[in-house]
Amino acid sequence: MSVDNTRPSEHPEIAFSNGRSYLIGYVVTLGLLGISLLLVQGHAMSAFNLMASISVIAFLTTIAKLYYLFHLNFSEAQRWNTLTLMLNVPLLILSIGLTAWMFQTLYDRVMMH
Amino acid sequence: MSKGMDWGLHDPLPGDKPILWAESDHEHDMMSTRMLGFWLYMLSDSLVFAALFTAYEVLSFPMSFAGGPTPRDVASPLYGYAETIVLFTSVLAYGMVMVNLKAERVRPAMLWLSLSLVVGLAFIGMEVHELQGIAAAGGPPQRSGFLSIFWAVVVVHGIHLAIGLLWMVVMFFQIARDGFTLMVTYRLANLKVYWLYQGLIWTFVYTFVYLRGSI
Repeated sequence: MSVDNTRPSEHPEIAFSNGRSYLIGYVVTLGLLGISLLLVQGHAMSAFNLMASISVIAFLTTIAKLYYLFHLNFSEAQRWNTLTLMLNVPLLILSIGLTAWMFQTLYDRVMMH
Repeated sequence: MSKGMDWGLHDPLPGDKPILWAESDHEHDMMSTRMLGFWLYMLSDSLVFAALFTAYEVLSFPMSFAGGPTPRDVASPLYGYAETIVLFTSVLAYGMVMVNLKAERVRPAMLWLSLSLVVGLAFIGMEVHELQGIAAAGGPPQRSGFLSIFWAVVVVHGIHLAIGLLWMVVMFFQIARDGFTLMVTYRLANLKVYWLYQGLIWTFVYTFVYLRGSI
């Protein structure tokens, strides 16, 4: 891919920087985590449902950050960043999820309650 | 095969002759190449945090408290939310550095960079204060398996932030010395990715350490 290296500020990686989008991201992510805080502080539901709710909110916060702050999409400039992240997500889910599952069942079977 | 015999296998394609290679050298997109490399580092760093969160998960069973402090005792959701506001503000300020870089405004960019740095320092100060309190209340890292991993998660994230702040100081002087050259621009762009990413990781620290601890 050829490029004009003499005009770095016009590079596509810089061009998507946008104050309005950063501000929206700031408000949305803090708002979402604020909802999590209120749910937990108010003991709004059962422990399991609280856990599920704050997990979903953390996921939404992540999506908001990737969209408003990282500007990930399938444009020419961002395509490979987005794809490598998508390929990385299963690794994170498997490494955390399988270990958690394994130890949860171990704990249930071998520990005295 | 006799020479000159036309088997009809090499008919030229209709239309223009296809271009199979560039006839001359061209400049490569240095910034995109290096930023993709840095992004791959960030993804590998996310595996480091995945390992830490996995260990936190495993060491959060009551057996690992060893009769010492529990998640509810060490992580205050309200204080954590104050930390969240401070860190995200620093991230927002760094976003404004990028906006001014795009417009090639040197002085405002340096101003926002300083702001991002100061607010980031405030976050680290809050964390140090919090950890000192936990240690004083009988929760040093060696007290139990749970406390070891709690300190590990918070401190590893904090070390990432400290390195980011050092990087900001270096960039401040590089902007002052060189202006927005190609090198300075791509370093600022990578620092943006790094700083935003630390904010992203904090989302999970806050949700699964601070909030989950008080459920």
